[in-house]
Amino acid sequence: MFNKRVILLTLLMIGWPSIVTSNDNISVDIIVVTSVESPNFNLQQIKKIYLGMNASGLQNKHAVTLPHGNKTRQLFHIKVLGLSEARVRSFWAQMQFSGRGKAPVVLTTSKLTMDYLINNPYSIGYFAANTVLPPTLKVIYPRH
Amino acid sequence: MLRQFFKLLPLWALIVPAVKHIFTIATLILAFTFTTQAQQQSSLQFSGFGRLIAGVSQYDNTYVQEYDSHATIKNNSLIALQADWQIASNLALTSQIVGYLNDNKKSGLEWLYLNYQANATTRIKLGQLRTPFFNYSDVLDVGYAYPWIVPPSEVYASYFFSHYDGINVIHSVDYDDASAVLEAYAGTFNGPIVQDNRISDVELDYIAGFSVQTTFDNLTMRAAINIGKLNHSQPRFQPSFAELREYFEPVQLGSLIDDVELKGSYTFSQLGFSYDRLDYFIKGEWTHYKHDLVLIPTSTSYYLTLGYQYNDFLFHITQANLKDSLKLMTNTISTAQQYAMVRAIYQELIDLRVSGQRHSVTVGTRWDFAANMALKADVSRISYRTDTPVPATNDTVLMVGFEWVF
Repeated sequence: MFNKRVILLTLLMIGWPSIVTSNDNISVDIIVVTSVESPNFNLQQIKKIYLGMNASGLQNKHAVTLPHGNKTRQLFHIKVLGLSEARVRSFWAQMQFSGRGKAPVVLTTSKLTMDYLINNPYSIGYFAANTVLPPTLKVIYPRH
Repeated sequence: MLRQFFKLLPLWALIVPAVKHIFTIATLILAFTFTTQAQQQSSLQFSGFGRLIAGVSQYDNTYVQEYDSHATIKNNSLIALQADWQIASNLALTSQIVGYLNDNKKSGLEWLYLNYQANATTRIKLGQLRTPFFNYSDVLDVGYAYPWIVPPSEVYASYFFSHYDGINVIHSVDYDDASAVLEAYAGTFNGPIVQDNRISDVELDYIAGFSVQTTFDNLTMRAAINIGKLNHSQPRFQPSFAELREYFEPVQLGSLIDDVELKGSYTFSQLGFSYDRLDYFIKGEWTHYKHDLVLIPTSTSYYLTLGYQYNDFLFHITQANLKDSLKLMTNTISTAQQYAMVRAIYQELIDLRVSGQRHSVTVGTRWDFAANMALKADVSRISYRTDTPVPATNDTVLMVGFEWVF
């Protein structure tokens, strides 16, 4: 049956106090934003929306993202989704080609993201933490 | 003159397989050419994937894996195009065509289904669909979606029916910190299947299954049960059962062929998990395959993969195991002269059966060097110990690959 060494290694890895990997309690220089009409989604709900989990109550919440190579995008993946850029793309390939979902809409700049969020209530996007928001948008992550 | 002809032979050996796939390749190139325009102008969207995989093994003809000591790109290289047409806000048509370099795999339509979003949480697919046996069975051709070059064969080699004609219902349930996806499917399959590069013609009365996948933070777990009834299966590499019957029926032993014919029910169970963190993951699957057939073994298999991500590089190690077992089959045919022929044939059927224990360790790396492109390299050490007279085998396989999605 299962090799004892593999089981031991697995248990060690699961219990590994992952200082680097944790996305909790780290200084955040990114904000996740939606329209003021939207509910205040928590971190788990934001993850579900960005990972295409077809959860009830989260329908029609369009997630928008920045293109590959963008620094803000990388920060968002690491700090909010807790996954590397490569793994997020690999995950979305699986979702797309198994017919389970479509990846978030890619907008090339933060300015386009801002316009999209203003014109599409309930959509969700992210920005660098020092971004000034119009009154129609609110920050849902981090929570103060 | 003759010398010239023989000089040209290697060239023809390259051209003939290329011509065989020319239709698929031409369709893909044409469709890809119009991709950008189509995406801008209508609700028709094209996407696709391709992979170029080269493999070589230490030994020839070990039958424990699909490569030999001559490096080849044929076995696992492919290109595919998917078209998604949004007919209405809740109705879409998806088709996927795949062109394989492997002559044993049938190039052409792999998916064609209607996708109906019944409500916020329920989706119904109808048409030709991928069979959802395993964690990665519906994206088996999309190498970009998984860490290895080939998913562990100990588990995935029993993926007999890559697609079926039928219905698939997916229902999502959401909790605060968790979510679940329930999936049920039912349908039929009729066509050739390939296993270990050997082809069999198969007809199923029905195929059905149910799975539950739950996600809690970084942990995803899946449990599935699949059932089916094999109406007919005829391996192309052995005499047909109808031919065998012609020998056995005249001596009133036709019932022996009834007993060994590849028809009956099967149950296929699967458990899987994946634990993903930013810089490492652990994933595994366990499967159990049970059926009424005597010529092929029942099996239990698993794999466990540990992966470490460092920037755009992934390093992974996998241990996989497969344990086969055969039902008892003894040759009780009389040794009298008139039964000599059928007795010998029956003994050959017994000797054709192979069961044993297969074990492998794979070490691999993946480099996501550009958006939607990755390079991979895997080395596998495979050992196979048999319960039957086939000698034990060890082999090492090296594979390198380029993965692309567009």
